[in-house]
Amino acid sequence: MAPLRAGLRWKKSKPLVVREAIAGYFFILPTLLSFLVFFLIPTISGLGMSFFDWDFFSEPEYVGFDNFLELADDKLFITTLKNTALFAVSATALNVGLGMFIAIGINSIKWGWLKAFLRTSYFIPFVISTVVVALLFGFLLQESTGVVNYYLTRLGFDKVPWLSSSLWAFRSVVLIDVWKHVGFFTLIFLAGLQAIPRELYEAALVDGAGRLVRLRRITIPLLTPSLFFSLVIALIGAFQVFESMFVLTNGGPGDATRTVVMLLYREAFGSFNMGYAASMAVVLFLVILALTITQVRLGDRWVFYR
Amino acid sequence: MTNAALAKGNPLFPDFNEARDKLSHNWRAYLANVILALPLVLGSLIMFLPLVWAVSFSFGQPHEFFKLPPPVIPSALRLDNYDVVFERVDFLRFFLNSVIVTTCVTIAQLISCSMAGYAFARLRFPGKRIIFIGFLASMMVPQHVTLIPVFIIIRGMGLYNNLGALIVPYATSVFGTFLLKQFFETIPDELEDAAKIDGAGFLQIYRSIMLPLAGPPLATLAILTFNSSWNNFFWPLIFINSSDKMTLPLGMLYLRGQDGVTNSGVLMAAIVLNLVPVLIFFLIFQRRLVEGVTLSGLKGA
Repeated sequence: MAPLRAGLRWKKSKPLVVREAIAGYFFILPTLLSFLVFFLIPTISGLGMSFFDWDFFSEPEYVGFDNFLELADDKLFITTLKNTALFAVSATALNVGLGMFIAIGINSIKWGWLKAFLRTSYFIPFVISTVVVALLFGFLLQESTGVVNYYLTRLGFDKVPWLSSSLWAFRSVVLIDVWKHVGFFTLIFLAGLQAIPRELYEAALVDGAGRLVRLRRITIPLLTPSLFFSLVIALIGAFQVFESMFVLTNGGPGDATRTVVMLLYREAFGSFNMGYAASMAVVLFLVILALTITQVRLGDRWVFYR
Repeated sequence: MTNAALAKGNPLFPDFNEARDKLSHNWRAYLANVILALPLVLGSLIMFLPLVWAVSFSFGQPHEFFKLPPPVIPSALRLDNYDVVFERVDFLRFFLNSVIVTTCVTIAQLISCSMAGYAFARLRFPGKRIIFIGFLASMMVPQHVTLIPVFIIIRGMGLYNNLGALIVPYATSVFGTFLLKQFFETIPDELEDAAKIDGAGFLQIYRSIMLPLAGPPLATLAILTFNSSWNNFFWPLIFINSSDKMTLPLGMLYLRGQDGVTNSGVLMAAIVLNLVPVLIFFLIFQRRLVEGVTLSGLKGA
């Protein structure tokens, strides 16, 4: 240890271990401070706030579990929770399912230029901001003058009330989410496919396995880690959906596309029911946490780890 | 020689057999490729068409706007809609604000994440493990839990309706720290030891050994951060209330609220103005972006 200290004048008195520890804290200081100020303290006070009634201007009043009891009776909250869950499940299933098959398709194409072209085109929407995407589709999906309906009628279909009927508005929001995110999941699966050793396919070919058998016995089992990862992050993300509905439908028609975060935003910054909004965030967090834990538990059964 | 004999294979010309097999195999592979590619190419059209329509409508005139069929190629390159965008809102201000916020956030993250990543990967200090686990756990908590307290903290810092509100909370990230930590762990000890023997301090090791090697992960982090900061909407929505402080995504919403802009060629022109820099960015950094996404995916898998 002694030679290491040679030449370091001002630190000579302190042992290396102490200096290393000081350096360690110095290097993590910015990140640690930010973690404390913008995560740890807010999380704890956010949890605490859910037990208070507070309108931002007067003194907070402790109400115990009242906010949560109120939530359980709040029809609008239950509706938004249902909407959010339905959105999360359908968007996750479509994004991950389509992403996986698009990736398998792209991967089995032989021409490199076409592969690159397809990968790029599916990924482009991912870099466009959700607000721009929502504004664009709001325009294209108008019922009477929209381009999409125009071409649908030309093809002999009826006009679709994309944004004006409750059912279709919900479907539209899901489809737009898929348009924006499917390329991201395609990339995740493409990476997973690249990690599968070629020898497995060669061995299967020698054994005379056809395309479908190879897909079912090699590709899909070895893609399960990517599938698992995609399902977990897609669901976590989809439960926090806000922007596309906020811009495109503003929760309507009626409350058909209103999500938990939209209601939370309105309660907090529209009605200044800070405690009530905080309790919604806590419920949302607990739902996400429970689902993630369940996914991880179930994952052990079907995910194939090499 | 009959066809039947040919089909069985010609013992006198093995090369011919091989060539024939190869040819038919090639042809079948070609067909399989086309059949496979067709739905994928159609799908990619769905990805492109909305963008093409945005461009063509942005050049349209109000009176030909409701004319059907909608032109895929605009009748003339009229820039009237673009003029209106710049008349109605200070679009350049939005753009500039976005550039300022995004640049600051990206630079700050490159510094803070590489520092923390270095410490977590190469230094020993008490509490390291528990702090790192805390960092990772924070990725699980939705930002809405922290929303109201952070709102109060930001107001307390005097950053309400200030670009700082969009920068300070994003000056570091757990994801970036994790990314850099993973990278710094792969650097061989010998490099560091040599510098230590020469009497280099930790700051010097970080600056002259670690950072120069970390180009690729730093580039990945920069591009992912740039993209998510550029598209951030929720934060400006909460913290910004005057139009001269708005970034592009919020500015777009502000523009839509102006008279006669909702669902018109003016809105499409603004959308195109948004798309152009994003697509240029995408084309330049595509490889890194793809790498970054796959890397973050693989880390989790």
